[in-house]
Amino acid sequence: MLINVKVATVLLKKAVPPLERVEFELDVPDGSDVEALISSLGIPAGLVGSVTVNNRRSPRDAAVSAGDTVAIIPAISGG
Amino acid sequence: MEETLVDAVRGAAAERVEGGTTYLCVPIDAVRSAGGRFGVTSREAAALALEAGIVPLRYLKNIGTVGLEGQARLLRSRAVVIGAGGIGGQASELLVRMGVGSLAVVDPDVFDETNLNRQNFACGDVLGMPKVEVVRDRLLEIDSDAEVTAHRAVADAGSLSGLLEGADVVVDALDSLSDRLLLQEACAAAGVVMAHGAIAGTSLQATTVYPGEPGLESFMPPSSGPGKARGIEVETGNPATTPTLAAVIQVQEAVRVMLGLEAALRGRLLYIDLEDWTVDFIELER
Repeated sequence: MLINVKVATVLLKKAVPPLERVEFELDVPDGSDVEALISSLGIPAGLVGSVTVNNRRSPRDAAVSAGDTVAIIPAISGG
Repeated sequence: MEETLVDAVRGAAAERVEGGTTYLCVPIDAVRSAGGRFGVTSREAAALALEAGIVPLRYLKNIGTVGLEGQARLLRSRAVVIGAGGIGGQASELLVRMGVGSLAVVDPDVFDETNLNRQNFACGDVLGMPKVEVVRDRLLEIDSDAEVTAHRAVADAGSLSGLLEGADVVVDALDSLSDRLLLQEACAAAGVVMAHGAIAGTSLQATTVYPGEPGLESFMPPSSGPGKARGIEVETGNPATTPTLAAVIQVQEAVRVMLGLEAALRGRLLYIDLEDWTVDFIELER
């Protein structure tokens, strides 16, 4: 199923392999959850802070549906 | 009839037009000496003056945003800043300049060379000195009537309940995910609102956590083993810019809370990346 993905700029280079675009469409298996998506993008889970699905913050085990927009924001704690 | 404190202050006041409004303004020296005569602190004397419609010149430029009663309220409020580094040093100065009644600043560290790119009051002369003592001394130069206590201490489960006593608002200026979560728990236990802000490179996030609300628990990554959990800042670093922006946002929120207003970032996370001007508001669970 097709979903829309937005990855924070600072995470693009942290993905393995690096991602090139901030926003893109992705074909994921039916029944995927947020955690599986992060893993399939090659983004280290420990660098991820908030994830939103359709602009609402979602837990990592939230299921993703066709047409959803998933945004991935880094873990930030510097001060 | 005997002169009151307000009479004494009014005697030293003069009219001044500011932005189309005429205010009765007074130098802080007159407020301070009236306070001394009547046995109250300069902060309290200033609050009494404001309630009587007299504005200490020191706070005149705040009035347009907080109002006379609001300024009096700030002068009677207590803020606690946990962390005196990139965010905390800036937040402390902003709070004093806004006229916060009393301020506690908490940090166990001394200044080192790596702090010089961003930490307020860090300069060559103070390397090796405790941050909270330097911050306190500089703040007292800015405002000799400020009531600032320096706590050279780790903010942990053992110390926090004492450190948060009497606080009207807390500014989270820590530097790890795990410490910040601990602070959130302590603030919830103390019934105090916490203005959270954090940075990593050109990215910044901020939210204001009310006691009992999920707040930072909403976006902790999975545990990465023993040791303090940190974010992407370990790779992107801490430039001079974003910590100051975070401090501005957190102090703005803290001022709202001290004024009795609901925080603008309650229940939502502001995420900014100055690299590409991403600005997102993310709704959090309540």
